[in-house]
Amino acid sequence: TAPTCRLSSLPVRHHTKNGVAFPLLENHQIISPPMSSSTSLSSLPLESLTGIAVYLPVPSRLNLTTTCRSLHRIRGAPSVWQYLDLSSFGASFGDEQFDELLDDIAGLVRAGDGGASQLPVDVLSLLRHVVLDRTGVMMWTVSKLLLQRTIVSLSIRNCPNVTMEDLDELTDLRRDRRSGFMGLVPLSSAQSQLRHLRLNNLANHAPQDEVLPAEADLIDFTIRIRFLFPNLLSVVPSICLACERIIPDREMDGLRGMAALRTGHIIKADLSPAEYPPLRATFWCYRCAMLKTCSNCLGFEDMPRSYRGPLRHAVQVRYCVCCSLNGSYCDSCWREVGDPECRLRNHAQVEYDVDLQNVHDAQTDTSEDEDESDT
Amino acid sequence: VDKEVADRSVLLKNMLEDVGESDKPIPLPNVTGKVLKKVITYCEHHRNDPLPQPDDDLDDTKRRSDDIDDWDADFIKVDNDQLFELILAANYMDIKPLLDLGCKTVANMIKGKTPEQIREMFNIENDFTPEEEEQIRKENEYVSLPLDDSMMLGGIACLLYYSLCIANQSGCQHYHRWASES
Repeated sequence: TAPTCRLSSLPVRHHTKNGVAFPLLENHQIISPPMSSSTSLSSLPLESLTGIAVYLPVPSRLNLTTTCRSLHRIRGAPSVWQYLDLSSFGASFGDEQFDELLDDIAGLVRAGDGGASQLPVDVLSLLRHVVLDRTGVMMWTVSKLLLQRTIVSLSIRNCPNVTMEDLDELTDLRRDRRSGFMGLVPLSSAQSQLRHLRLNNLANHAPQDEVLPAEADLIDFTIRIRFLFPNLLSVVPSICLACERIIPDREMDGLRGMAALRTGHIIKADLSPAEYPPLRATFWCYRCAMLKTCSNCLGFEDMPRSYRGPLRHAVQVRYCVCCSLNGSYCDSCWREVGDPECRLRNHAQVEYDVDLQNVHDAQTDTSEDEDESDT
Repeated sequence: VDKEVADRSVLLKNMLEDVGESDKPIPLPNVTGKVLKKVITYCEHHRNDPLPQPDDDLDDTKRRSDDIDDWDADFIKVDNDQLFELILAANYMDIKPLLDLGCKTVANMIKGKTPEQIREMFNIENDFTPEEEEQIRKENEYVSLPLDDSMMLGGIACLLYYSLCIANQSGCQHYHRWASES
């Protein structure tokens, strides 16, 4: 007897939440293809094969595609070339080699397409994740990649030929929309898809007697670059936006744990740091993030907020607005927010009184001016 | 299985949401019982893991094939046929972490191998004509890649071991066995 059909045989996106429709489908034939008797590497769908290929270095990718016809089709799939890890090629891999590699990949994509299209393939626009760690590339390559709006992540750690000064110049040029840098038209910052930028241990050829030390240059650059690339989620080394110091690696686990708690990713409390989900934004160090986190619901405060207690005195609290309204406690003196004995409230009271005095003085001045003008 | 376990599969999760409360069985015609049992074992072990986010792919650090934890490495120690069936099942049932695990495992097996070694390992028939093979060889030569550091070191190690084997008059058998194992 023919098996009955259920929703599993339909594309997931076509499912509806209509409870009436489901029983009507039960008597239909199964649409999905039957399982093949034997499974081999070459019988995997293109999507899975490209999933395997992105984990391979470029020479191994080419070797895989040279084995048989069905695997040869992978090299023509643009998604295979979205991820390029060239870090193993070392310092001998420079700008010239990078350009040649792009030309060669363009040839492979064209050939994989069966030669159907004779149009030039823009490989730069295919790239999404590029790792150039320890290679000898210079600013020419880095600039081209940073100015590509489709690049999602770029890693240029330990590149001996890229300096912080060069990167600084690039950001200046990018900011100035009128000038084209090396023939490339600067993009508007909102278009850039750059999410992750890794630039540890770049060479710094600035003279030793420079007023700003290398670390200060880095801090300045990483703060500025966030305005140029607004979609940026992480910069490594990361700089805390609040206290402007480099976030040490040892704080990362703490930050990831806190983020996982905050977002509800952690259900088991005994998870090891390795099991924490990846951190999306590292713009705060652990200390500053703790100061910005609600003690009650672990919600994150982007801005310090004040709570007006029952006596209408503004009190700075480490609780988010929702938790404060439920009647939380002051972190400083552990009294209920708005309590007349709360030291912070008293401090706020002084400021409040001063403000009131200023308002009163301003009103008096205005009324005096008005009197004078009437006279 | 528990709903929490079934929810690891996006396909099942969406179907359960659509159907609502129901005791009726859900057929999975593209997955054999043996493979499904293995998939359920995986989902039960990872039932408390955070669900993959849509923008997880944006993080390039996840593109490493050597970050497989011990339990997963043990779990994926299966023959090639079952490995590919697991990849197919993970793809069909939309279980991204399992699909990634399968892809990483296959990638680790392929890394550093010549086309001939890959054919031998996965029992792939070379269906290129001699002309096509020559054409592809030219294309690959055209890609003027510098030698990968790891491949260079591997090559040097092979040469050293080979010369040692000859020096010991033990023939090439040791070398071939060692090369095929490694």
